[in-house]
Amino acid sequence: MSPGNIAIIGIVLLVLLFLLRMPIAYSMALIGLLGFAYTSTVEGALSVLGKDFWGMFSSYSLTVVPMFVFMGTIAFHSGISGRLFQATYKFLGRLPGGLGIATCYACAAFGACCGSTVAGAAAMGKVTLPEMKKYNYDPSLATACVASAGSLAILIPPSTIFIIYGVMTGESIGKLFAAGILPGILLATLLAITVFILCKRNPNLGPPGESTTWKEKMASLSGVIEMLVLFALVMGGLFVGWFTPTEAGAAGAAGALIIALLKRQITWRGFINSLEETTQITAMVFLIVTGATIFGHFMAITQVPFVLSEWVGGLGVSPYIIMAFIIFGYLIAGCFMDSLAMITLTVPILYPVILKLGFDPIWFGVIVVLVAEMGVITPPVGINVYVIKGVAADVPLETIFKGIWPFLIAEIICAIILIVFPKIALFLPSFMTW
Amino acid sequence: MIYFERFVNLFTKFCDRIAQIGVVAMLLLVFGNILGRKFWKPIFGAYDYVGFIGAVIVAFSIAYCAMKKGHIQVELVVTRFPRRVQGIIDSFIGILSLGLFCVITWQCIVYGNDMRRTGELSMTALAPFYPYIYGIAFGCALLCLVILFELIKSVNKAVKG
Repeated sequence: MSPGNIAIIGIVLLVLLFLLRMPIAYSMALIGLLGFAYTSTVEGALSVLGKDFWGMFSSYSLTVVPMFVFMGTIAFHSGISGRLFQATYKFLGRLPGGLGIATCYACAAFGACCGSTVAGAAAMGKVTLPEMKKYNYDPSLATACVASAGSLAILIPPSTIFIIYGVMTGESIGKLFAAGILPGILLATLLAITVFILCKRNPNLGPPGESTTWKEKMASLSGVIEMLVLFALVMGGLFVGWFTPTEAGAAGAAGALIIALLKRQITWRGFINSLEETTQITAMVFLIVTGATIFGHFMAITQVPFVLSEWVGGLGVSPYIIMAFIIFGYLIAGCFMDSLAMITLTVPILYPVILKLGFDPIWFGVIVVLVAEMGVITPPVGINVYVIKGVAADVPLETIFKGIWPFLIAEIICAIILIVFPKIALFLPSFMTW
Repeated sequence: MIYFERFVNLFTKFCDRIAQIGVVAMLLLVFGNILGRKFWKPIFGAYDYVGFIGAVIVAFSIAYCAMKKGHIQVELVVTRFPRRVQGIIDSFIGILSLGLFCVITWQCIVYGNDMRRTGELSMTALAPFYPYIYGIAFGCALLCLVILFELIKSVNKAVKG
């Protein structure tokens, strides 16, 4: 049997195991091991196994994950999500759909301390949904708005998806983080505009809130400003080369913890919960990346990624048409698969194709994160929608999914803008010469 | 079965606590290294030790993560099947998973033995790798225990419906 056929059988079996509820990480490791053993030798496959587990678990590059996750959990347990929402609401609340608009920007700001879409949606949902309910916001608009904006956490640095993309491709995590900032602000604005247009057309969806004085606006900034300055310093330090990504994460986590302790914003229970959430997310991410690495070895030995990139390169079709197909494929796959799994599975295969087509790999990283964001809100496996359903138990799932469409269109528009103007993503990384 | 469940739960939770201490240790080491580099001198071998602590964090938390159903899986299809069919499918997947992690545990021990025999050391700290590789083997063995526990539950579900 040709290596190409073995690879195709491997991918089909992998999808089958996914559908049979085998954890994604286990499935990739199992198929990777069996495929490698079949294509090469059993001894070779077994020896790769121990080395891969040691190599990935002790990888310095991946230690950035627990540090940034800890920073996010500390920020969450110190109640910053609530204070961010109050601040953005005081500034934007009087606009039509003001609470929704404030939610979009508060989610963007929370994304600066948190790198997980689920955590972003859960944290902001708990804070914003009761407020929107109080002001008689349409449940579909309110829930869909938080579910969509919550995903900004993986586009605005720090981001677990960028870290994983960086580790898998060898691209600079610092540059990827820098590349996510402007697209993140653009997407937050597009989501806010979506809320504004919807509420302007039908004011009953989201009535304007009360206007506030400048004194109230300024007062709302206390309690968030020091955290935001800390994150700006940490990210700034990473961008100018003061810190490695792991050091930036550790500095951010230490700073967030010190601020939370000094201002008495975190309890002992909150601290322990932060640690427990950190180890859980870290274990999940590391095991998936290790599984993907083993699967990647199998793919590499069959040479499928290289054959695919040669084939695509020889098609003679515009690279943008191929990119459109890749994004469409991601969009469909995102409906059925977890974003993290989708990325770890596809990036090793698609990365050589992207290089062959002449696209910038940092820019592609941003596109991948953007389609991952779409994946977390599209039915039937839109994880953020389920998270929001958990927060707003009285809103039916269909109602949330119905409200998602305008926000999904905004995300697609954002992707089109980034394809037409890649400089939006590449502008900030271009200043990083190291 | 209740005692087995209680034991697995408590022991994996205890190991997760060690992983949590690892997170704090990593934070202190990396942050201490930044301060040391700026104001005095960097901590010797910090880069190596961060990797070692990373291995401890993951090895000691994967089992508790599995216990808490933290490893991502696609629930879309199987949840639509009758309870007994779900039990059969989960049993099959449980056997595959158990086999996989038994092999991984075995290979980590083999790799750790190799490293100990050859006396492989880290670049700067000159610390041996093998204790941490044995740590990963221990974590995977613990994960086998969790998978075994879940497998027994799935078989019960398949038999009793």
